[in-house]
Amino acid sequence: MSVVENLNYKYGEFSLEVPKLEISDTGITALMGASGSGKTTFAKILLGLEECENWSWNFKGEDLAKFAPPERRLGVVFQDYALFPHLTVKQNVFFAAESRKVEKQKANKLYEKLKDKLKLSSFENKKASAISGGEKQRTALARALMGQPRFLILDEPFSALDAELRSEARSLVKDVVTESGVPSLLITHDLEDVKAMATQTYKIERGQILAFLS
Amino acid sequence: MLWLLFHLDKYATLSFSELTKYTMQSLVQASLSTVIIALMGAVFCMGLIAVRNKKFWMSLSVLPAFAPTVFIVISFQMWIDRFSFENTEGLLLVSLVHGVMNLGLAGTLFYTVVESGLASQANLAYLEGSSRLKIIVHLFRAKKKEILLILVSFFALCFTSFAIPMILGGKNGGTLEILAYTRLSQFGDLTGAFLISLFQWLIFFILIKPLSGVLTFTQNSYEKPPTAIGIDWCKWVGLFALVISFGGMLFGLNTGWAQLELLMSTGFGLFPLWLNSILISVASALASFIIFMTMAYLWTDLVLHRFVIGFGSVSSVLLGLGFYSMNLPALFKLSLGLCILFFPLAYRTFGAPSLLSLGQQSEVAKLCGAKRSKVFLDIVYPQVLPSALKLSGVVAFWVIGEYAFSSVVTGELWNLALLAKSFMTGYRLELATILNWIILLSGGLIFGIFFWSADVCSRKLKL
Repeated sequence: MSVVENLNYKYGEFSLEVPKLEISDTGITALMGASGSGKTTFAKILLGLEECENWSWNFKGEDLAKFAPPERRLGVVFQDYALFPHLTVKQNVFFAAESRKVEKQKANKLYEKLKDKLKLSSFENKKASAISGGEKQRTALARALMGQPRFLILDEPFSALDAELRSEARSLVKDVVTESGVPSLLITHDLEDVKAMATQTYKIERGQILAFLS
Repeated sequence: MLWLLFHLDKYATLSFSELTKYTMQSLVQASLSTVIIALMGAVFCMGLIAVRNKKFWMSLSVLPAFAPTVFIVISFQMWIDRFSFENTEGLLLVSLVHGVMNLGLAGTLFYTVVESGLASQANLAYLEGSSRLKIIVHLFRAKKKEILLILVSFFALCFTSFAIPMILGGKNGGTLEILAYTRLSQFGDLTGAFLISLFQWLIFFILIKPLSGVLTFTQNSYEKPPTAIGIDWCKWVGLFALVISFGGMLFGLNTGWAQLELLMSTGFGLFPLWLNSILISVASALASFIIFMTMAYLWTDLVLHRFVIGFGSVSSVLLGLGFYSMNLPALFKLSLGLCILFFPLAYRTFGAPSLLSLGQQSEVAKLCGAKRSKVFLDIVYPQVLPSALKLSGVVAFWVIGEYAFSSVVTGELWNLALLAKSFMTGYRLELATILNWIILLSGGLIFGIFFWSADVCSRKLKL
């Protein structure tokens, strides 16, 4: 169990207050809320993209809040995936391994595994700017896992997909994330995402974590 | 400037009445120019609302505002006899030139204001049967803050105008910039020039700065207003500005060519001046490229970005004085100085949008654990290269036709633009026109090479 504590963030009239939040070390924890509730801000603070003081994130004996963002070793899949459009899918995925200095042989092995599971082979040599939304999402997930993160954050990963693709994508992502064993936080406004994927769920409203739904 | 502060060794010989006179002239000229720009811009905006191929008309009409001033000035002189204005109406002429060259840009900006969030209201009012006048008055009243911001920007531009009053100002059209320049070039009064520039800066900040904090450009959604509320014939105002601004360069070419041949036959060294023009242009472009790539390397650190976006070199003379006082080669001083003058505008137009679009990618790359150099080399550099080349090409084109700042820094005939300026002030307009064509073609070639390279990079990257 990792614990986020004393997270207080203010921006204009909006304030986010998280006195204590326990996130499971296994499976997918969902944070569900309407737009403007503060869920993405919470994710950005965890990632280190928003500055926040005097909070802590106790993860297996280490306070990740004290680490610089890259040192936190978090994987992330954004809503719009933020792929590098000028690179191929394979180059996008390997970028994470090279950045984390994952050994070449190990990286190749991991890539083959991810390629197989996420069905990347048919478009691995295409530029990221030339692939479909579903393919982008799978590439972004592969990139996030390739860097061997200690924790994965999925920020509305299905919202850019068509309704027909979503249920297939949910089960694929759930399988891959569960099998990787990386604890994950799913940020979503969609109850269907929660039903299909989450092992534990928090509800957030106007910057306050309201309820824990197991 | 800092260098100057420590070298104020000459005593200023400036009279108060002179300062007052030029301050009044600057203020009146800037106000009159702004009124002309506002009126003519509003007329052109009505034309833009009416036409279907808006992009075509916008692109044509903004050219005079972005072309090197040397082309505009020579063209105006071919249309209008400067000397009939010089003694009495220089101020009016300068204001007219400002008005004509900026009306396309003003009309385009006004139209953008109408499009940004007001078009749906205009559509509704039109369907409900409101009159054209009523709709237009409502549109402009609803967005008065944005329109005021545009006008304040034009006022600032005209208040600090240097290149146009330098040639066309005559006896009553001189601005504070011209006064500072005159103190320097005619009396060698470095201190006086410096104090005038500082005084101008002070006035500028008193007048403009408080407003710029209050006024912001709010942008909602973009939607086209109903074409029926526009006035079709008003579009010709944009074309009129284009013809007046560049058409004069087509006159007197034969005479000019004959005069040039005569000049060359006397052994006049035109080639070294042309080479200097090319060198300054390319060197400024390279300096801009390096500055932009430095900003790209430091991305997403926004300190430099904010500085450049907010940077407004109020006084070309003041900047020029700084470089003039440095004991460095002219090529270095000019290319760096001109880069400082032109880079911010080029950056706002071509550089900032491409860097801003990479914000999230850079963040993700850093989260992946990539070092700054890897983020730059693998992610940022390949994607901003086309924009960097375009930006450099634009700076090269602007720089090659610049003469006002250059004359402060060098004080001699150092390149073609300065030679053209000396011909213009000596009323040898045909010869100046021919030189302008050489400048235009040379600048166009350099600009073309940079744009072609940018295009090749874009296609290779398939962005």
